[in-house]
Amino acid sequence: MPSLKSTFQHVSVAPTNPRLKPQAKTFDVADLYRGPVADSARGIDSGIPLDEKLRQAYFWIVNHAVISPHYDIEYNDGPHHSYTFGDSKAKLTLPSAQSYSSFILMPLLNFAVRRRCLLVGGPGRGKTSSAILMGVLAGYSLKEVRRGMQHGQPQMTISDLLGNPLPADLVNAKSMDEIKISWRKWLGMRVKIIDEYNRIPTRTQSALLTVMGDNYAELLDHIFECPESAWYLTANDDAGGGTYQVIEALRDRIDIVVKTLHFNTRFLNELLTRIEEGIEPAEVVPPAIIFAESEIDRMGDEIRDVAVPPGLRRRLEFFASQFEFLEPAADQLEYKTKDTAKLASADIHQLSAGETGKDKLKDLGAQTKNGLSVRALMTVLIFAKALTYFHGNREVELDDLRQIIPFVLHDKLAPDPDAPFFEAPGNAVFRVDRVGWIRKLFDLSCAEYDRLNLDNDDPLTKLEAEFAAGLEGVAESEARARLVKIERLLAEWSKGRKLYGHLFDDVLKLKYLHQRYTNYLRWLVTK
Amino acid sequence: MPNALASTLAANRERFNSKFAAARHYKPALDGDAFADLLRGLVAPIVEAVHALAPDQTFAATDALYDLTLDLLAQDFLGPRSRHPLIASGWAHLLPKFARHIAADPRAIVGAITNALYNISTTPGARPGEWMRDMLALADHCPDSETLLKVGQILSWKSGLAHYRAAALDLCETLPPAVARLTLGFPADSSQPLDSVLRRLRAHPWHRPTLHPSRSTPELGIVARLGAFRGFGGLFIAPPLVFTSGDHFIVTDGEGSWLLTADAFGATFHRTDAQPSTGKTKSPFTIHRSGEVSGPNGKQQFPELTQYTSAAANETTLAVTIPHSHSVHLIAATDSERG
Repeated sequence: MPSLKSTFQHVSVAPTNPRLKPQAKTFDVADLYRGPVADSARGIDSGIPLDEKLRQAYFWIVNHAVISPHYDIEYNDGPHHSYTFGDSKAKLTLPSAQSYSSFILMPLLNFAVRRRCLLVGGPGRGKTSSAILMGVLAGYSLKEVRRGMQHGQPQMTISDLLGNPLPADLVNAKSMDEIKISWRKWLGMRVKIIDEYNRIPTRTQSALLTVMGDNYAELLDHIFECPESAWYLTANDDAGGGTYQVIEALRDRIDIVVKTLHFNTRFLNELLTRIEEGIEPAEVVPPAIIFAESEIDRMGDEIRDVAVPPGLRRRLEFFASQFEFLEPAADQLEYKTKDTAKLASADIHQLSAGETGKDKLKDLGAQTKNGLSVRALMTVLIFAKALTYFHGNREVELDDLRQIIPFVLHDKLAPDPDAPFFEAPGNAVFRVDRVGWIRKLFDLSCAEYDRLNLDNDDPLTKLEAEFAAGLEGVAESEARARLVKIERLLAEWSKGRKLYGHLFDDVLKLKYLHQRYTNYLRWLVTK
Repeated sequence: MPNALASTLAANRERFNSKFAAARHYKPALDGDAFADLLRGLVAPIVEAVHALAPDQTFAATDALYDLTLDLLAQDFLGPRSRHPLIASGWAHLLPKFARHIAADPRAIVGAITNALYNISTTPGARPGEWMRDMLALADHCPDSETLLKVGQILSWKSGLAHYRAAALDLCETLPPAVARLTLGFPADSSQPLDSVLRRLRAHPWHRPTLHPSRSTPELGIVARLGAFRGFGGLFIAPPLVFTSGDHFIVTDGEGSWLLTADAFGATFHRTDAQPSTGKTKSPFTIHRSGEVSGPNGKQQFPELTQYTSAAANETTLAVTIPHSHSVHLIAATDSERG
């Protein structure tokens, strides 16, 4: 049978990222319903795995829907060429492996893992169009998606956002229970779009926070439980240029930030064609790339199953440990954090300037005003898994982590623009380029990790492994020996070593292990 | 144009215009007049039938049929340049009668039936007319679209797609027994025990369940002559040779090889790179140069098989080729004249 496919709703042919050779085919009566019409047979597996379908959706969007001819998520498979241009030595890399446009890929990954994505950029750059496409991918018609989209505006009330009590009930009801609420339909949708969220009044933002953060809406003691959803918020200016300041808790709930990339004028012809022919891409999304609810559930499960190898997890730990530590913030070690300073409304930059003896260029923590929250780290992990899954792998690799971190931490890591790092030659650009700065931070962290040879020589890893094996059956002599090892290690580290963020976490982990063994020994003795 | 389609298109003008514009962008030669003709001639009656049964599904059916029509016209599967007239015929004759099933899942049902029409019409030796006739007769007996699609698969085997035989018999067991009996060709009031019918069909590929035996004991006979000279529309450039390959046969003419699957309902050839089985296949058949064949039910003389060039057998069938024929002769024991 010839390979037949639609031309205008053309979906990239699987495999979009070929790796394994397909198995030899045997006679299958299901083949009767495979032919010119793609994926039409209900209840018959098309044989395309969901990561493949996700890639097909990506390629359809970049080829037919959103003109985004950028490949800023670069992967290399072996040697690659690069060229430099201009006085600033701007580097252009030609990736040697399949690479992607962050503006399309990140919203799609957000769709797959059902988190909260903020699209930022100037007006008319495709933020809303991109979000609408995600709604269509979830199986909604364009009309439904448009009607479900919430447009932020200064007069938006909580009722506008959530719904209204029925007027007759308001008059006649003798208790709150008797009031029926007419909930807004968008609350029940699996893709939720809030356009220009920074134009929503502060009070209404708080109601939005409950829906976004806790997945339910509350009005007059009535609760509406929302389904698990992928959120898309748009903002023309994320730096506070909206009508209202976005409350910090709401900003903190945003998992990933994507910036629109500029329009390459060499593609003006594509725009002209759309105008002349009246094409609305969201109206022509091929059914083959529309995900059923069960498929999105299954995809979420498969993404969670992607493995993070211990070595890579350790690298992420090392990176994340750099930022929270602030030596002058407290007397007791545990409180020597930026959070302590922040809660006391102290100027972190000024406090940090008081530190002496440390190499401020080498200390990555000196570049930020805050550390990473648990939520931020969990988001890094889930999006790293999603990117790996999308890429067709089942184990996260360093490149996946390196590519995803800047987008997840975009609004999570606040730079200290007065830090010495930004004054160094060539680094001023990182005051403006947040994505580039975070990627640079990660690269510097990895370089330090390699310099310390932590992949091969990390004494704490051995102690952790011993402890992870469990305390049951550990003899008193063995427990005491482990305590001695911990004390020796602390003694060794305390001799003249500067205290950096990673060491701060390591020292506290040793204290934790020491305490667990101490408690165990006490229990053993009194048993 | 009947009302249901026209009013749905008018109410969603922007959507449908955009779909056509996008289609024409990627396929500039897309013929707007031909598309309009297809909408009027093929799609409108289907939408009207769906609308009559399930008005709330009119938009979904229109949307799916509009997409599929554009798609199939762009690929020349429908329209004036189509080389597959059976697809249009199936849309015209089958789909309006399947309105109940289309209403349940328009894109899946129309897509599946279209693909089936394509596959059956492009399989040499298959009988698409018979498949359409039986589908029409059985559609109303199917309680849901899943059953309809299973019935379609079984009927495709009965209409000549012999390679689906094993899977089709398995599918029979998943249908309501009354529907399964109807699909196998028994009358509606038949009380034939399905288990024994299926057991016999599995054991004897040349058994036709609805034919009354004309012989008291099965006799050897030529049950099929398959293949022809390529110059006359067949597959083989030269008189072929035959070998065993599991339960099937591999036929080669020196230039190419085909896997042959065959039973009482038809035969299909599939190009293959597979090699003949090296081991000896268990078979009750032997053939002598004189054309005498020994089988499970005695011996029989076949004068046309004297000086045969190759022979291969499985448990139920002997395949033989001869020097001056481009056909493969299949011999089996049957209890009826037709085999």
